[in-house]
Amino acid sequence: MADNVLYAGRQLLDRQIATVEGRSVGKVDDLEIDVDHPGGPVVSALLTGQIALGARFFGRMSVWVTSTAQRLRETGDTSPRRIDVRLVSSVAATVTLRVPHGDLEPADLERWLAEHFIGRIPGA
Amino acid sequence: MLRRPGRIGATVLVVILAGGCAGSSRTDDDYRHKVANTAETLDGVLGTVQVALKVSSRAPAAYLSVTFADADDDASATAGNFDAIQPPSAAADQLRGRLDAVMQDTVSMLDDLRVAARRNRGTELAGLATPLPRLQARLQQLEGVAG
Amino acid sequence: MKKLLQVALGVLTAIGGFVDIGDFVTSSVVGARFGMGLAWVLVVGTVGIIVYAEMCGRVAALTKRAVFDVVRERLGVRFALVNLSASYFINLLTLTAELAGVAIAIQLATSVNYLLWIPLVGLVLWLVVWKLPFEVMENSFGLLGLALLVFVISLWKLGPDWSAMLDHAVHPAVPSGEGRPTWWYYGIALFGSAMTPYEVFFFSSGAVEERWGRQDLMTNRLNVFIGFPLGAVISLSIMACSALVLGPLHVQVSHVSQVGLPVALAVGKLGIAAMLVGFFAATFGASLETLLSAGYVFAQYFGWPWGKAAPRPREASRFQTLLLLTLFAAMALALTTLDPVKVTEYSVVLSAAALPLTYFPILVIANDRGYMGDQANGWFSNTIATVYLIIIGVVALVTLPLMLATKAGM
Repeated sequence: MADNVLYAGRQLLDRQIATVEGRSVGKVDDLEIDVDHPGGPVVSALLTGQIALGARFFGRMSVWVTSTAQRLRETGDTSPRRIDVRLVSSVAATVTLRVPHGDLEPADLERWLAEHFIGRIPGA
Repeated sequence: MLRRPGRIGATVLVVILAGGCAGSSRTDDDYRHKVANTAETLDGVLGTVQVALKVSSRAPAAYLSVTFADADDDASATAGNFDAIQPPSAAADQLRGRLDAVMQDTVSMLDDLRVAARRNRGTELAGLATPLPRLQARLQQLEGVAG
Repeated sequence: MKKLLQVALGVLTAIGGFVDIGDFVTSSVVGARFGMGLAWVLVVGTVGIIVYAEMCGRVAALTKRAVFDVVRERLGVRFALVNLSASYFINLLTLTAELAGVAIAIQLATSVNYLLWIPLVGLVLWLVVWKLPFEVMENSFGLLGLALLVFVISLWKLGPDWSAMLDHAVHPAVPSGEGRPTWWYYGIALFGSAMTPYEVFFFSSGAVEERWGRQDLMTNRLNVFIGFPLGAVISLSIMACSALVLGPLHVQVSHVSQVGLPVALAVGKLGIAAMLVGFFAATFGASLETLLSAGYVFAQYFGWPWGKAAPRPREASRFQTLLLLTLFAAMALALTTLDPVKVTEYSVVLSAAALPLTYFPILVIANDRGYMGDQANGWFSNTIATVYLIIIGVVALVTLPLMLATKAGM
């Protein structure tokens, strides 16, 4: 039984998330816990990206990291990027998902820079 | 909180970069040390020149030209730094005069060498460098003034 | 046979890639000023980088994770950010020095001022990281760097009194007229030049990129155990050449042009040509490595795609943007006419001070049997690694005070 226990704080947090073909998605910057789950609280999603990361700093730093990230959102939604826990296939040194790269929404900054800067350089 | 270590590091760096070697001098003793250090630095520059002259037929022209230019720049910078220090007394003033004379001769010889190397006139270098041993001797004397 | 060739290529590039502007300048400065009296530090530093790089390579092969990936997981998100800032800043300083080094190599061949070459060098660097097959470039620069072996030949041709030199090296003493703090300060610079952290960021990221696995552990050990000591022989030769030719004339090395004078004396024009090719290759290779390392540390901290995980530049747009910004910053710093030799000295000294930040987490994970299984550190490697942890810790504590006390070695 003990083999199935996962210490979310130590074995999930700050790990690299990768797609099924091994491409980087982001870090596990925070976790979403479902406290209303009938069998007791469970991890319901991995939160990744700058908005989730900002919450882990203190004071002005935290506000700055979160608010710059929120400004990049085109929609009014300001919640962190969320990866449902059902998409996770294995947890080891890397957290591997069962979906390919194409099925995931890209990170905000990545998308913005690809559209406005890097994507415009010849050969990109 | 998080930014503090970086800030300290940057401050230290700025202080050091801005500090340089020169500074004001309050006592004769301190001034003598500065004279000796300056003479030592110039002596080192002449050491470089001595080796460069020795290899003047064995090194590519461009390389030699840069070497002489670097030496000339070093000597001028050293002289400039030294001249910025005020001598604290009459005795110090006299010491300053002695070093100044050597510095001028050194810089003017290096200027000539630099031009000759730049214009690829390698054969003239040895002739232009005839004052070298005497300059070295004078500088080494001044290195001793700090006692 | 193909395997053997590959291993040989790895070792050769490790030798050629060992020396960068930090080793080059620091070895010469120290040799001219202190003779062979600080040669032992180079030995200590080389053993240190061997221990450190071997662990990183092993961790990368078994966990598929590069240094900063591990740093964040082991030190936590906040402390790792301090670590990231420090590592990035030092990396930027090193890149500035290497970039200036490339430009100086061209200056020494053409006598056109190095500042004019910096924009061109920057552009070529960017083109290489943007498009060209990177491994090919890395290998060719590593191999061309072998031209610096001309310093070994020069030393041999200068015909020193070997036994006196060895005697001086094994009985280190502070020369008269030099203060003890200055002596230690330069010792730290030399230590930092041998153990530059970017080399390790780069090495471990490369291992992850090339999908090293258990079968590559032997290659890792051969590269490190043979390549690095032979690379250090080049550094030692530079030091000895300066000690023999420049030391007796009280030369204070402040330009790259001075470093090559002993080569001109011993070997002549061909020697200078070889030295310039080697110095160019070494600094260009190191510029590539420091530039990419700057990107790697950020990408690995934030989990961005980098390297082959993103086949086209636009799929790693954050990584690519950071590379561009870093390159511009380094070019701007170099163009401020900051003395490249001084920038080099600061970069190696600060590298030494920052070592524990990355060394410690790697040591911890190399001991984690959960990850490493039977390849975790044994008692022998742990003893050495712990001794180095102590050395690195002490160095880190004394560096900044020494830097202030000696006015950075003046």
